Amino acid sequence: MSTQTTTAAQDGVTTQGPTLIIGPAPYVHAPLTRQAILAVFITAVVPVLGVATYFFGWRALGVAVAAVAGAYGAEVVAHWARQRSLFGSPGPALVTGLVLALALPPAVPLWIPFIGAFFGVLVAQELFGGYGYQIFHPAMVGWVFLVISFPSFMEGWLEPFELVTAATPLSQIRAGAGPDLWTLFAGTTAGALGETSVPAILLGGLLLLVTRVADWRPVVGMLGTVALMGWVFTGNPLAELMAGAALFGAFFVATDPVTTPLTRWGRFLFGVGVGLVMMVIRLWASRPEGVAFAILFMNSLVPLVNLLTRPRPKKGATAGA
Amino acid sequence: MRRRRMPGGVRTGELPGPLGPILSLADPKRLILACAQPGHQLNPLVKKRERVVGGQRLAEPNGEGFPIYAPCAGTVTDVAPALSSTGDFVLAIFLENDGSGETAPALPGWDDPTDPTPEAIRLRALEAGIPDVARGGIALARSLAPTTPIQTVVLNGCTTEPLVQAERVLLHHEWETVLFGFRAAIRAIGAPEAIVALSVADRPLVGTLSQSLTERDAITIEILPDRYPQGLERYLLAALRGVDLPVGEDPATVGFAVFDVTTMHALGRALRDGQPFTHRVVTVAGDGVARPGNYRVPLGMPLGALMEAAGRQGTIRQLVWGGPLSGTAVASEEIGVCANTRAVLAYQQPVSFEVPTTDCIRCGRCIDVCPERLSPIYLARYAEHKRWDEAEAEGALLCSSCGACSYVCPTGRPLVQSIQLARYEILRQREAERASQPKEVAVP
Repeated sequence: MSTQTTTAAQDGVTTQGPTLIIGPAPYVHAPLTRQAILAVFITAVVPVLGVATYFFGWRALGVAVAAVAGAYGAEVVAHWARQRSLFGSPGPALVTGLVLALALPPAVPLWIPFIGAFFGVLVAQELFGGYGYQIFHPAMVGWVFLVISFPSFMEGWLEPFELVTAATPLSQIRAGAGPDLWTLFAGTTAGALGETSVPAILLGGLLLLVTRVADWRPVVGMLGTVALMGWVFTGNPLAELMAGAALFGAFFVATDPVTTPLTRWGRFLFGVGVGLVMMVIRLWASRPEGVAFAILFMNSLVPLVNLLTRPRPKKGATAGA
Repeated sequence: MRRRRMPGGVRTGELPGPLGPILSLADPKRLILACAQPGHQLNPLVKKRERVVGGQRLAEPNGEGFPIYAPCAGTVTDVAPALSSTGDFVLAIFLENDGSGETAPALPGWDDPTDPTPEAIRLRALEAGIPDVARGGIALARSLAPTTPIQTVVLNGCTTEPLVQAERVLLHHEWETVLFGFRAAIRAIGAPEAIVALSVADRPLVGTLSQSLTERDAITIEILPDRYPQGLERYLLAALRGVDLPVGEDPATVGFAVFDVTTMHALGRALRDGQPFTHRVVTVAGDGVARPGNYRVPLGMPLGALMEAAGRQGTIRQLVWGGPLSGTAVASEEIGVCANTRAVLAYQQPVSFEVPTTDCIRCGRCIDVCPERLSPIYLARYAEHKRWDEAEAEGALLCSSCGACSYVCPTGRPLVQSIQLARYEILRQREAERASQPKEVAVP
């Protein structure tokens, strides 16, 4: 697209030297490119994945590798079908794969994350046009696909370190006897690979917010709603925040650029909606946890939220010709 | 009077420019002084092979313009068309510096900006060849004689754009001269109120600045956020006084006169020292120069010579005239620095059109930064599909082309560029419709 120009020579104005390339402004670019955003996101996941490995052993890394392989595999297959260059940027596949892996129970066989990520990326992302065009978060689609298709494998909750079967804190809380808050904070409870350790999630989440890779509004909207509803209906907002996938979902899923609203306050509403639906599922539905369903539900409302929160050019501003 | 902070904008601190002292240069060997001003061309007063001294008048207006002067002594080598930053050829005077340093005697000066009469200030602004840089380079004398009543005179000290520091260094290092000119401008216009608008990045300056103000001044200092394009008059007046300046209108229509730092500095020098406007401060930056900085550059210095002076390094593939978001890439190094050359940016790797573009990731950053509350994501899509009517309905004509959307776009999409295309097409269609309509339109 660049316009090559030969420097003009007229009336004794002779120019030598290399050709200058002309083109419209801007001539600089903000440091936060797509590649940088994906790189920061992956860095932010590292502490969470690290703690998961510490808690549940090398198996956690295996699950992550299998999920990333599935996600990338789906991209390669889709690129092949669409006759594009086969191996694109691995960033999106890494993000989707890691998010899905960290939302899985520790005891899954390795083919589960692989086909979950493969399905999520192929159906929810590539069939919609590739990264940037998806409406639903591919990792959440993959997770729901696995829960519906292989429910028995998706209940493999283990106690950290001992790796014996255990109930998740959310089930315990609903049964009336949850672990104390300190245990919930440290995350030495049964649960999905990435959802238990609060310090690791906060560390990664803080990195996302400080670098402005993620907007704070969906995070605050979601966690605020969870805390408020937890306080009203269970009287224990901190437990509702720290048990289950609320924190992980708020920082790493509800901040996804592609599947969330375009406007700042739209993203806040999105967070509120996710928190609301999630708490409704937790409190009154048959499932103990509902982050993935809540995200997908709110994904479907994104066009509506965009419409409602559309910025309007100021009235009365006349357009000069 | 409710103040309105500009929505959105770009944090200029992300790409800080050079903020050192003002660096001086040896006068270049050759100068190319353009004789074009908005709307008309000057009459050259010198001929080929004629010898001139520094400060000598080289060309005169034949209408509402202002004269230009020789920055240094030398010989006129040619009076001929030369390439300008816009790509047009305009009449220019080519001057070869003879190194004698001979200068014409300065005009008499005043010790205090309140000594000369408003008429004398306007006359000196004209005689010294000072343009009103912020108003497209019309004669400052015209801006100092407003046709509508002016309530408030504003010194725009927050024309921040990433990298560009030319105006800021004048505030930092030569505030006395700027204030001299600003006081004279207030006096010439006769406005009851005056504001110095500063960016929050220059808050440390407030102490020094307010010390030099006296009770008689009626000048207040106001701090605005360090955001680009806060310095555009429309956003400036909204932030200062909650005034709604319609897009494309002159601040005078709402009772304001806005001056930039360079213009006031030039006026101060002309009144105090009797010096014509022959030099300006230019920010030189980019990876194509080894010594980025703020240089005091004689008008007419070829960009190529400026690159040598700032330590050319590597092969410069893109040369930008003006700021990185609002400037223009020029096609030649043989263009002389003009009054509006705030910055010259030299890049070894061209950025324009060279940032790899991938699919939009719908992050909404372009909407977040738009100071006009537009949705560049939609506007650009309409433009890409040539749906001009929808682009117009979305407010394409409100776009001030500040470039913030393209600057932040993580996928490097040409957003402002597409919107500019839509603007062009919409205005062209309007023009065509106007031309096709019958002339006898009933006027009720």
